Amino acid sequence: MTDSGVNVEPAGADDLEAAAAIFTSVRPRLFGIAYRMLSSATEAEDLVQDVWVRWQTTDRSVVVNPAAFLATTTTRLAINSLQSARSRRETYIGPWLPEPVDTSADPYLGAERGEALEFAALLLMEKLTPNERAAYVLREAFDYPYGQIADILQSTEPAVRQLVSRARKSVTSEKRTPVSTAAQRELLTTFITAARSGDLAALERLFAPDVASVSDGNGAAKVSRRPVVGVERVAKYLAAITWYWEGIEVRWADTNGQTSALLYRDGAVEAVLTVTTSADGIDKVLWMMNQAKISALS
Amino acid sequence: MLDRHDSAVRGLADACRLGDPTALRTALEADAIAVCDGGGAVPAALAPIHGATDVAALVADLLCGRPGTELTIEAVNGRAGLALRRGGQALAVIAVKSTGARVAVLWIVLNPAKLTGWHRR
Repeated sequence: MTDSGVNVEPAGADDLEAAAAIFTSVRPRLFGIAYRMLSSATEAEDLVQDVWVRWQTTDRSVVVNPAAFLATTTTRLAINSLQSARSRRETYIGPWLPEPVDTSADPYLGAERGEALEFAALLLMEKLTPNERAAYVLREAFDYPYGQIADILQSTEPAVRQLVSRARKSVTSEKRTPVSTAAQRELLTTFITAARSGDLAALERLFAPDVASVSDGNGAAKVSRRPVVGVERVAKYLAAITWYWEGIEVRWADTNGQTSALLYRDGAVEAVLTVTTSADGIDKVLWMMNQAKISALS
Repeated sequence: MLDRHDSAVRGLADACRLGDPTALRTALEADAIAVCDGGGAVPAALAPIHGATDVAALVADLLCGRPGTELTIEAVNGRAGLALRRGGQALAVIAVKSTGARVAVLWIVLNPAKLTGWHRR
């Protein structure tokens, strides 16, 4: 940062106008960085204002890349603010939560991606050091190259990679929350209803984007079929085999904390069906087939 | 599959407008959690509330059927959440985490200092 604090000569009106135009164009991004660092729209707003004041009094003729310079200034100020903000929060009465932001106009709040923005993520980021948090935010939400993050944090690329990977571990550890047993059973029931009727739209609504349907013939190689992957494919596959459900009676079993559907035909178990779920919906449909009957589904 | 989250939030908002405690409970995970931030400026629970029954009671108390208030679904930090306003003044903004089609966590922000960006007209 070339912040001498002294303005060598008064800037011309044209020059200030250009400076304001540059600042305005990157302002949403600066706010997005500051908010993700501080979990406070009010504090982020003040910080961005501070960056604007500094930008006006900077010798801009030596700044090669204004956008990078402004992001650097914002990040470094945010790291300092976060340290004092955290000490203030120690005396906060009751639970401390982030200051919510309205993202209806800008879903990713100035960033390339929606990472490091949801309440759960902001709360998990409270556990990070200010440097870890900055590295994580710049990488995950704004897609900065590691080298550039190293420049911003006055660090080295390997050190930044370390920071980001440590931060990822603490922030994403609770990302894929398995749903409760009751919710999983409800999802399985809804799933079977949709599968029986071949309701494509209903099936697609239940699935996570990376859903896979896997048949397993109790480990016998010749009946393990290739998994069907993707929302549309899995839905179409199920819609194509609605005939299978004719004469099937469903009973429930709880196996290792998961609800499974036992599919009975003529009084005998023909298959066991279970689904695994993430917060995004069903991510795996698992059929464990009675080998003698597997051919019926091929 | 954002729409599952959206429908979880909608389910909670509808139950709230109906003022139906049973519907409220069914919109919540059995082990739902609510955390309130009043910042010492307004009355708020000082500890997280656990379990559908207690969370439903808190929500009924805090967000449902208060005269002259309006509960709307809003984009809160990139996900569907809720705002409670009276005459355009925000009284609470709620960030929501859902699992499946139910609400798992409610972060209820009541501290007026954190609601300044949420007043309308």
